[in-house]
Formats: sequence, structure tokens, C-alpha cells
Amino acid sequence: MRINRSSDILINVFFPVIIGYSLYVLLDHISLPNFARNYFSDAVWAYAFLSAILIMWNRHLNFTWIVISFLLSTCFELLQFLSWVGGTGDIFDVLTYYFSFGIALSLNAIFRRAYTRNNKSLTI
Amino acid sequence: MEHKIKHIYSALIAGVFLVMAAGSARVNKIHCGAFSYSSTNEDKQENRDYVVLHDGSKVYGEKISWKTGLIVKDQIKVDNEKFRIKETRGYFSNGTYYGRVGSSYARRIVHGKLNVYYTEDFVTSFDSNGRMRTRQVCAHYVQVGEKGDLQAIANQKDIRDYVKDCPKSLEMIDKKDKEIRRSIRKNRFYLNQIFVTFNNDCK
Repeated sequence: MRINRSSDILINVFFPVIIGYSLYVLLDHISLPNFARNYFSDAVWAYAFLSAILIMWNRHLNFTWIVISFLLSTCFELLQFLSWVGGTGDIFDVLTYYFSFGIALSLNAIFRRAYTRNNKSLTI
Repeated sequence: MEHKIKHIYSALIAGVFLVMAAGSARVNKIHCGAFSYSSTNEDKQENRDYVVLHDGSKVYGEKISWKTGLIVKDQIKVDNEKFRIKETRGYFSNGTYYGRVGSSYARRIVHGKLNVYYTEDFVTSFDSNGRMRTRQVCAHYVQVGEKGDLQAIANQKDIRDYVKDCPKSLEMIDKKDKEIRRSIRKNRFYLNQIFVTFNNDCK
């Protein structure tokens, strides 16, 4: 598989965001299993978020920003739990984010190899 | 690209996604118990259970059950007859009517020109001591007429939008948050009454 940066952004950021947004908009109009209603949008957006961060750093693992991503998502749910921002704080949302981040990190090596083959060298 | 610029862009990406996440969630200010759930003005004459299909027809039966989930089909059963949940508008069982919202059902607590429904869920989270705790989360919905979709209401403004054509109901909801909370504490039926008044031609 060969991809360039634009394709990477399209596949791993743009499409997941669109899918998540479409699900979110369609929530009240179509019947979805409760899992999809409650967590799937969050899962794809979390995947898109970390993928965007990884792509920003040319698929090299930037430890600082990966930790910030985990912390931000946890803090966001905490703020929802405290009603400081909209929504309902839910431990399963946090687990969903972590799971999606895990998938993004797992796939990072694959996409990085595709990059390297295409771009010959990948420097930060 | 310089490191500094990458950090800035990363922060911007984080900001964008946080705004997206915050924007997609609404603060639900109508907590469990804000409405009275014990009251209902369902038709007392009706003593048979039934499911209402999309076309308005009723399928009567002795026993109604439904299930929904990730790996099970969303379906409702009337005795031995099965229907997909999204083929139905709602069902009536043991004196209570339930309207379909998504792939599950909400219980009706006010019946009339405007119908009010609610659902309750249990959400698990951690408290400050790291202990897992479960709390009840309620969602409330309003339906215009018998055929409309159930629309979520989350705050005073949402309620006002529905009852704005009735001055009496509007007066009841057009108060400061504190005053409404006080009114609800004094009279658990207060929010229900806003809709009941509207349904009774504003009397």
C-alpha cells in the first residue's frame, strides 16, 4: 500500500470525522443499536483526532502529544461529569477513546511504512 | 517543518476536536425527577395491550416484549408476532404507553396535543476516591400529536419553544432557573402542568 500525506489525512481523519458526524446527525432518524448510538461516533472521532496528531508528526510517535491526547480526553469527560461542559461524563466514553487511540497507534506502523516507501525518507 | 510550528498545529488540532466534541453535546438541565413520572392521563378504558405500527394500525396481544442491542435484532413481540422496532410508533402495556425513540422506547407521562416522554439510563463513572459509581441519567422528549417524532428537550428554552402559543404555560416556564426549581420542589407536577395546561386549550 502506498499513500501520501493527503491520502493519509483523507482516510484516517476526514472520513472518520464524516462518518462520526453522519451517525450523530442521523441518531434520531434511524434505528441504531444502543452501542452505535452511544459510543460509535465518539470512537471514530477519537481515532481521527489521534491520527491527525500522528500525521502532524509524520507518523513518528511524539510521546508528549500522545500523552496530552489521553489526558485531554479524560479531562473532557471529567468536565462533562462535573457539568462544566455539555454532555454526560461516562467511564465507558473514556474507555472508548482509549480503545480508539490504541487502534490508531497500532495502525501507525503500517501507515508509516507506506509513507516511507512512498516518500523515501521521512524526517521530523 | 519546525518543531515549534508542529506543536502549534497539534494544539490547534486538539482545539478543533475539543470544540467538535463540546458542540455535539448539550447540557441536559432537566434531571431525573424534574417531571412527575407517576402521573399519566392515559385512556383508562383501554385494558388490552397493543403495538402501534407506523401506519397507525394496532396489533393487540396478551404479552408484549422487546429487545435491542449490538448483537441482537431490534424487535418487539406481540405474543408470537414479531416486528422490527423501527416499524412501530410505540406500544401500550399495563396502562402505560411507550413511544419509540431510536431503537428503544420512552415512557409517556403527559398525553395530549403535546406528549411528554422520558427514559432512564444508568451511567457508570468514578468518583473522587476512585470508586466506581453508577448514577441515573434521564432523558425527556416531546412529541407533537400522535404521529410526530420524539424530540429531546434539555432545558427551559426547549420547553418554551413548544408551549409559546399558550400564555399561561409560557408564564409558568418563563421564570428564572431558581424560581422554576423552587416551584418544582413545592409541586412535583409543576413541569407536567405546563404541558397539561397547553393540552387543555390553555386553561
